[in-house]
Amino acid sequence: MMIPVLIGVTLVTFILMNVVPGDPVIEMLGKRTDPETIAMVRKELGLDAPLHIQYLRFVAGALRGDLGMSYKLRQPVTALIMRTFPTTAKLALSAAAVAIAIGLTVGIISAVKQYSFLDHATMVATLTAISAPVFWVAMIAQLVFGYYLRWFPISGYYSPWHMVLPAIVLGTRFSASIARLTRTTMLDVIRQDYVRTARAKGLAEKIVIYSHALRNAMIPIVTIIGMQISGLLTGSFFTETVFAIPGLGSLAVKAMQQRDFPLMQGTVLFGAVVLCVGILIVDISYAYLDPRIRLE
Amino acid sequence: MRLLTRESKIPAGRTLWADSWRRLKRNKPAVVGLVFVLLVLFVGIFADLLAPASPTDQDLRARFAKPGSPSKITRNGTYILGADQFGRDILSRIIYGARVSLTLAIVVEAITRIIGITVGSVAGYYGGWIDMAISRVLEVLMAFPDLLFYIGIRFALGSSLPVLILAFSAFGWAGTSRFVRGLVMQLKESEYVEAARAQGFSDARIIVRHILPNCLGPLIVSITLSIPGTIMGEAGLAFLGLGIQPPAPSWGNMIYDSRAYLRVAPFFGIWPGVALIVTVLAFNLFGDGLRDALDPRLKR
Repeated sequence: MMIPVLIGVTLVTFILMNVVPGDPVIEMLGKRTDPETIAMVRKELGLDAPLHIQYLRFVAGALRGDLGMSYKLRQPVTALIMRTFPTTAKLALSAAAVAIAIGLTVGIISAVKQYSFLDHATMVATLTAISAPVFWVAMIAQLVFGYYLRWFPISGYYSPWHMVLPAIVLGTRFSASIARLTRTTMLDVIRQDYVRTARAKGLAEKIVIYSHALRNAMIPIVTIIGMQISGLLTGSFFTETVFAIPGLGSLAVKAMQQRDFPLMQGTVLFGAVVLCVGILIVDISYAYLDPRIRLE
Repeated sequence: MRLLTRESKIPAGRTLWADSWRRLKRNKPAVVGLVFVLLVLFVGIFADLLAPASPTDQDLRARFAKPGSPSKITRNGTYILGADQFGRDILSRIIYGARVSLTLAIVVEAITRIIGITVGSVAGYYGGWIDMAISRVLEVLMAFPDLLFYIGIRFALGSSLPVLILAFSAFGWAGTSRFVRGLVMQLKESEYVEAARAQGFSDARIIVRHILPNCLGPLIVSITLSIPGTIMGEAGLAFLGLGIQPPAPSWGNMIYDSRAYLRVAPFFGIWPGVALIVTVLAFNLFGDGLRDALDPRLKR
């Protein structure tokens, strides 16, 4: 599953890079360079080879962890990615923590108090959160909490404190879908016979909810969290852009605005790998949550 | 199912659709959603009549005019929601932006659904190696980071509305295919399909006349719920400076433009965002309600 996806991603990326008008060498050196220099650099970069050879070279390089040189930043793409990825990972993971904490809590409360005012209010609130574009929310949060109220730094990344507002903004958005799904599956599970049995034998409500119901509701919840990984990555791209956090997202956005193709290609491929690994981790966690599911 | 309702003696008005409509009417959030969906459609269609000014008329002396301040370019003489960095009327740009967003979303929906339904029903109905081959392609398409594709296609072909439509359609059909494939696989085992086959109907007729009508409910729901995705997608691209290019108005490029002036004119960034959220929320509310109404067993 992972291998055809990655082959597909490299192939389509590669084709796109070559369909796009504009000569990368001229982009790199400027329009006034003399033809001999251009020919020389082209040869040096291996751009004079036929396309399929270039593709195989790119794949062979990628397997060795060499994604080529950035045209504009004149640095190895792999190094640039490795330098920025930890920042993005920190943002995405803290956002995920916020999302799971808020999402589970709100979802469980909504399910336990079904049809209460609280339930209706949170369902409207979560749907609104899902409907709001993350970059807009980030922008407004930056204006209100950073500029007007001055509770948080406005932008940049110099201390862990700089990460708090971006993580909350990104996390809140994803907590909404987790909350909605938690509510639905919890409602399903609460009506099952074994939950009634647990209540009937006099267990405390807390134990019934947390160790009987929630455990069985976790599988679909983990699935949805897994499906959010891709959204979380894209979301952190936007959040990084708004808050000027120097992560993978800012790098990719800069790459595409400057038409730095190797860098774009590298960040996209890397993003796809992260995605596949994330999905794999989710698959593995099923076996832990539900012993009936065996890893094959 | 249509045959059954037409010929048996079920009281008039008790078709699947009439039943669903009755259930939908009782769901208040869904009705509110529907009203707003219709409102946005109305605004988009009659933008020329409703907008107080042309979306591209400028008045450089009225840059960032506050909401309610007097205006030379609008018909009623005020900037109801204020003016942008070129003194254009924000309300008019939002109204025309609705047209852009909806056109994009509806055309993309039409294209992706036609391709998706065709491919999906072929894969689901025939199964075997055809299904295998199609499914592998779909998996790759669905895992592909589509943002990159938009960026590439934008650089290759520029960024007009047709290019955006192409960009969003290129990958969008994969999801529908998978969805329809699953439904068809389920339905093709049912007795009425077997009966149709026994009568010697062609495969195409069985798919179009007997299987697809029964997929209609879930399909309508998924269309309603995927329109907001496209609208948000355009806004996201525009926010990276890759969407529909100014001076043509779109909610996304208005938000993009407003970013640089947020401290001077916060309302400039707030209004298009509010328009976007209300529209997306309306589609989501309506879609959720529709799902519950069409399939009461799913009632949560």
